Amino acid sequence: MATDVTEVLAQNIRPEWSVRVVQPGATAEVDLATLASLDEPALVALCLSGRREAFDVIVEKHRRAVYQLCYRFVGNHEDASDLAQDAFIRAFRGLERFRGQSALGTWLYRIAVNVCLNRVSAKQPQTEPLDVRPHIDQRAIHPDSELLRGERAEQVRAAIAQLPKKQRATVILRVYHELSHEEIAGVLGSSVGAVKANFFHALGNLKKLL
Amino acid sequence: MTHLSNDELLAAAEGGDHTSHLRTCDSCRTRVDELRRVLQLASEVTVPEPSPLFWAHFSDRVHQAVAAEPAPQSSWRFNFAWTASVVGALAIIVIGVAVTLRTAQPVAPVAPVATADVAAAGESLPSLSDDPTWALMGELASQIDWEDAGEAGLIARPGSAELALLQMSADERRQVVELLQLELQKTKSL
Repeated sequence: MATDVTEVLAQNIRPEWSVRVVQPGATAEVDLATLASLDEPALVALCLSGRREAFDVIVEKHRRAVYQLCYRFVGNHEDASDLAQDAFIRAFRGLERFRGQSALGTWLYRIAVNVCLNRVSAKQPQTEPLDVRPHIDQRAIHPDSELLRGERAEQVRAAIAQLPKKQRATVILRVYHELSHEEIAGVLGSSVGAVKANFFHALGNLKKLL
Repeated sequence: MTHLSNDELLAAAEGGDHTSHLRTCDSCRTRVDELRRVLQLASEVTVPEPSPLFWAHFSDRVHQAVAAEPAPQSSWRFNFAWTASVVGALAIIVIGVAVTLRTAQPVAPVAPVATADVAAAGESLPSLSDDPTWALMGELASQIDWEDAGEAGLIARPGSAELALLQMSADERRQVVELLQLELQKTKSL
């Protein structure tokens, strides 16, 4: 017996649902606004089904955090930009390994940290001189205090750059990205106890350096 | 007096509650204050914000790089493909061994008491359920969804046997014919 599809839909559809009928084999058009409203598992699933535009949304959501993480490691814009791009490409390649056990952001942090640690192993970070940094409007800030703050910040950056790799990663993830000790353990692939010990020793080392 | 451990000092510096001990222990209070000062200094360091144009440019670069990449595949597909390959290979091995053993056995001459002999031989044959190979096959096959098996080409479609025969060489076809004739002879002899 033939069943009228519209009749079935009318009986089962909820008022808040929006139903689209797509011919089998047809490529469903999903606009960017719809993609942006999807949660992360749905975006990952779409990517894995071949909808690469879903990955653009993932990039847009996480690009600032990933860039900032990379900047904290290398201390200059050019390298941070390259490393962040590399991290996203690696994330795309390894997307099938994302199990959803942690937040997508945490998983991206893990990739970015690995990319950065590989880079800093091969190359000492080159922090930018003050005059090539992006322009910041300083009209409302007292010039002397801003200069002092800039010098102090440079000292702290240099001190963090001298920390052993795991300690540096722990400080960056804890202080600047506000990850919990458990999340950092997940990112670095170590125990919570090791993360706490690393963090404690990192602060002790920074105290000596500052 | 027992001092705070490193974990407790860290927890106190990060806002944890050890106030009662810190109120009475100068040593621990000094260490916690030092940790707090370092944390404060570190937290004040900001990352310069790139221009808004940078973000658009960055997304474009990633988009182009990703477009040049092969499509990622979901892990269950990968696992299924692996499992299906193993099951397929095992199936071929089991069938091959079974066919070889059966063809290697000489055909017993027809005797007047054939029915009784067959019945006796049937009792002495090992049960399939006791065969570890079949048990492994069953275990692996039970994990495969019927639709997935179809997608992977493990289920014979109409015409598959004919197609397989057409793709055989003359020698292979002759062997198949011999095997079939042998099986027919055995069936007739029973």
